[in-house]
Amino acid sequence: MQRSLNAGVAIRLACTLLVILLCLIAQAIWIKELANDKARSKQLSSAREHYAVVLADLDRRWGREAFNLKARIEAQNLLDGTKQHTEQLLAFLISQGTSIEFPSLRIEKTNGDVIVAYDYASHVNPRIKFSPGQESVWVQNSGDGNLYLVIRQFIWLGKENGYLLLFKPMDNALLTQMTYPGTRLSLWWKGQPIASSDGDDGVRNIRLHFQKPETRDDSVTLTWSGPESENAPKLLIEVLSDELIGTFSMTKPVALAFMVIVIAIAIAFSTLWLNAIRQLDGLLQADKRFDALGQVDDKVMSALQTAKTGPINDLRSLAESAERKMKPRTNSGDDPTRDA
Amino acid sequence: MFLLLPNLAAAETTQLSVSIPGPGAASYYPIELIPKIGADKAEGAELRITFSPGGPDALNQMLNNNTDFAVVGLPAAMSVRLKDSRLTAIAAVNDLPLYALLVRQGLKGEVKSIADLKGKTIGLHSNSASSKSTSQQVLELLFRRGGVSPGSYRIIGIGRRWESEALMLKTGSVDAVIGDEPHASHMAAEKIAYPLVHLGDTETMRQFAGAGFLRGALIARSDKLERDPDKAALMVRILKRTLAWIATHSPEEFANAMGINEPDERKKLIAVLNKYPRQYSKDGSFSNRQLRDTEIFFIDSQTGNAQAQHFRIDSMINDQWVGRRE
Repeated sequence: MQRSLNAGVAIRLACTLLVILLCLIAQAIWIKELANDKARSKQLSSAREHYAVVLADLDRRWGREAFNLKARIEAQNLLDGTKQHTEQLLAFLISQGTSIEFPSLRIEKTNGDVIVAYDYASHVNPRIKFSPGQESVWVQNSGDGNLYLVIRQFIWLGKENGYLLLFKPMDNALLTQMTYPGTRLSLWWKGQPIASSDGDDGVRNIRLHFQKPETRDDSVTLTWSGPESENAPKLLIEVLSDELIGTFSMTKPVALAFMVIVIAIAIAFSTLWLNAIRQLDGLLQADKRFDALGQVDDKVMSALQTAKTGPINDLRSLAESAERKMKPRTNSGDDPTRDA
Repeated sequence: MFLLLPNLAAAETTQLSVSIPGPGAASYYPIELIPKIGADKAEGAELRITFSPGGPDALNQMLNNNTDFAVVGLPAAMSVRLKDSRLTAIAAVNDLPLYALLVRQGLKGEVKSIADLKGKTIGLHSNSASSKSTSQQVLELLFRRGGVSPGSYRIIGIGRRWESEALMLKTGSVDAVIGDEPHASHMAAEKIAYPLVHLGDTETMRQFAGAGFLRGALIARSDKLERDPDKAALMVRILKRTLAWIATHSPEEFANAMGINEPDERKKLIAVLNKYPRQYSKDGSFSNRQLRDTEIFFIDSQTGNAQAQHFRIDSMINDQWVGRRE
């Protein structure tokens, strides 16, 4: 069965609109992905830059604090002389409270004999091995599972040098204090996560998502500056912030663009449709009147003119052809109004 | 061990962590007891305990994600709460504050009242310019009532460890400390210091309004409670199990479970437990009367702090797991 003209036009129109809609959606997805990728890439590079500065700053701060603490201890003169006043030194350290950056410290002779051990929280006593000339080392304490940065300096014991060993825990609190909203940090050592800015739950969760600290679309890694670069812990930075452009926020512009296109098409088609009908009607009226009169008059000419200026080419050709056929008959003097 | 039925033995173990002042402070023994009697394992969990020099530091450990919970004096938590609204108390642990103002033995005869401590150096469990530990609040209240105005004595943070407190008193680095049991009894017995005021005494409690404040409370972070309420519920179940164990066992069994075998130390602990039988909460529930006392104590010890004067304790209590009693 043949479709009516209207049905045919409607189907073609609907298909056209569907194609337009699909194109708009595809374009919206492409723009969304492009914008989000660029935003994420920018966030990652900013985060990397920021945390690289933070790590360098921490290293400087701890180094400064280690030096100052050593100077403060030496200034007490409690380790000088024949009798070392360890009780007074401990009293001095206790009165410093938690203002000391390092919650644990040890003062040792160069042969390893411990002179003073001080902890203001849990006791920390991991096995440490320094290479000759080495000033700091990373070591994991089996007692609390924390990774420690151990800074070693010479300290004057009166007649000879000893060592001051300072222990800085690399724990969840350190990462929590470093992090900013929209990022999550985890610290990896020897291929295992050992601390997270999300606490112990964060350490467990990161194991499910990462086999090792690696750079992905939403993560980047930094090696902690300091000693033993091959053995230094790695900081994994994850960007958690929401997408710059969400799926829902893209539906509005797509719907708006589609509506504008639909309205534009409707206006264009209705104008075309109206002019085409007027063109066809002009041709029919001209033919009808010419048949009735047998000659061309002003009204026939006007109707033909309308048909000749319409939007459909075939109708224009038909109107011109009809005009050519009608005029000779009129010129031959066959006046249909005259009585036979 | 200890007849606790592991009802969730087959289930996956949940890792929990808590920070407390200590170690070796009687107020926080219930927490130290948890792994020793297997109360955590009986609920399908494993508890890790982190020690801190004082209440605010233990709270810092929790706020900075080193631990899930903290157990501290409620007044200390209230002080931190003034600046960080995430702190929420979810269970009572220790009903009786056993703080003592201990003066070093060398000053016996010279210091007979609080007023005699004017110009002296006092040691606290911790000190901070922005938040006050419970010991600091106790000190300020006692001294003000004793006629010693703020600023007319020196304070030093000396931590919570027995070694620190004893050393500071022995070396004369401090003249007095705000101590806690069982250290207070140890110091008196070993003649390191003598008690000037003991909040556990009935007479003292009558003299100081609010002295019956809630000593130890289980504190959580409100944002974590929203995200994972099951973890808090689990921790409270473990705590209640432990408190019920304490309520049904003798001081000797308590000392056995704590693994305190040194005869002198054991004797002193048993003496403290016998002397203050209502030291620990029996079920973790909050008492309306005690919360009122705590509020009075807090406001009274924070004279001049407008924020503290307007603080209401109910804003930080979440009793959905332990309930309330009069």
